Amino acid sequence: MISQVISYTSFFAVAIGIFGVITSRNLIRKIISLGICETGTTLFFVGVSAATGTFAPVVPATGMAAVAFSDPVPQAVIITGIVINFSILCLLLVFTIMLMNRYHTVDAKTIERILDKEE
Amino acid sequence: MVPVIISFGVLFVASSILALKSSSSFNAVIWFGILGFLASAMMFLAGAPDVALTQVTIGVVLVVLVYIMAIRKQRRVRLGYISKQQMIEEGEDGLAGLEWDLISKIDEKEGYDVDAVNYDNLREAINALRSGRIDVICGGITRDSLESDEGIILVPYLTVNRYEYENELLDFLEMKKLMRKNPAIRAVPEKETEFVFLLSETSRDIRAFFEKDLEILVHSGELERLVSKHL
Amino acid sequence: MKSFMTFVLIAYCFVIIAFGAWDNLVYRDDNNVMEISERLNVPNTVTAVYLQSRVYDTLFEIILFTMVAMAVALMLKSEPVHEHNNQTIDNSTSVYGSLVGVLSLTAFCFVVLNGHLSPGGGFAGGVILASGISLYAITSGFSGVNRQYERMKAGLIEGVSFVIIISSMTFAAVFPEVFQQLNQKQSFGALFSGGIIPMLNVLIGLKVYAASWKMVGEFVARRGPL
Repeated sequence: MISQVISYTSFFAVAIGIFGVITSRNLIRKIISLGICETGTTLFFVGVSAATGTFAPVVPATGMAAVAFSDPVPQAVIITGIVINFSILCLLLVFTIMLMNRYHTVDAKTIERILDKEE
Repeated sequence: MVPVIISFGVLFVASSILALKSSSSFNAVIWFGILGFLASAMMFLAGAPDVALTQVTIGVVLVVLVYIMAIRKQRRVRLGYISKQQMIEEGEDGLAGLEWDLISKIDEKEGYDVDAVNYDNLREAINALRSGRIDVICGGITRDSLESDEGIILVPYLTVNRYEYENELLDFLEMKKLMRKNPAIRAVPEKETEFVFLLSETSRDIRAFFEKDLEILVHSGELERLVSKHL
Repeated sequence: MKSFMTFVLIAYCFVIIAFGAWDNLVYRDDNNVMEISERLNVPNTVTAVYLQSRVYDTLFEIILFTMVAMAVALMLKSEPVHEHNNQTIDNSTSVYGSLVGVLSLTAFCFVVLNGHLSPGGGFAGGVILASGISLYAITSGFSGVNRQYERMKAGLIEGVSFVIIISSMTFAAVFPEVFQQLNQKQSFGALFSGGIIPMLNVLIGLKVYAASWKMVGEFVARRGPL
């Protein structure tokens, strides 16, 4: 039950994130929407891992009875993913700063128009 | 446990919608931080404590820090001016005049710095504005002295009268000069015109805060004081 | 009109995905947590999975993270530098900032060294230390922290730890039996158990901290501190 609730919430988040990337005009707003999409993906992995139970996968002592632990493999995969999401976000902000210094605006359509005129 | 997770999930989706519909970028970043915290709370309740620790540190502290450093206003306003007496001219130490006072007050309030460049006539300055080398032009320009205004935005700041004297059209400053020399002259006010600042079309953010701050200055009476000090 | 069509398209795609994923999210009965913990002799199974069973995955992600930090530093070299002459340092705030820095250093040591005994590990500890030291540097002046780094030769330590990480992870991926037998010889739940897992956790924590600090430092140097 918990696993389904978290997975369907993450679907909403990813859909809102993709919608924001397509229809927003401000560059900063686009990058924030991409961040919402990434948070939704992280939540989906945790939702898949919670399908076998919701106890944290830490075993206090050997030889005890089996409890409904959650699956450790998706969690191990997504921890490195969060740190890499942060570094890619920094790279995108570097590009935004370079565009801002050259064209003095963060509007996507204005930048496209200036680039069309330059050609 | 399940109702708690459902309520966190509803708040998560609501704050993600609010992050897209907020009015300024700063508000959107704050909603993104709240969203990261709610996601971490949901992960903790679902039995993934490692992931929750990493998400709350990255998503609330580091990401908001990096965004605020990227979106703060950092630019210099490049000003091109045409020397005109009492409006903006070179004094003993730096520039002085009515327009210089106005622009310095506005830029100080917003936190910008001003770089000033001198131009000889209006055509050169408009060329520089169109090619993106400067942002604002000032120098006692009236609305009628422009031939074409494509790609240029005019921000008016003072409404004055235009006078006609001896079959010649004079504007306000030359009128004042003549009246000082010879106070008995009477001239006929012909029509109203405005002194303007010229901005290029690509700098919408400068235009937004120029208009807002000019309104505030008019309301508080600062504009009248500056005008009576210089003219 | 464009927003409405986009909305309809995305809703259609996601309804199909949501109905197709129903089978994967139902309660299952099998889990292999007890098996992993017995075979690798470590209490925290998440750390054991990403440092023993799937060590090839972690190796490439460390390489990627280091490359992105170098790329950010390189691309920002063509931007103008901000003059640091107006960073206001309030003395009472800098006391609180240094308190946060010291607490985060203690938390880093605890979370990283107990990575195989309780939830934590190298990645969580590295970002905790990065956020703590950034808050300290914002309130007490960035130039002092940079000078301290050059005195302690931080670049050399970073390079040497990167070489040790790559070599030992490649060895663990190619010969997995060596480290599993080493794990079995030690006691369960002690601080020095788990083979090379504690050493790898410490090095990963230092690497993640160094890369995050380099990125934040480049941003501050070009755009001014907050």
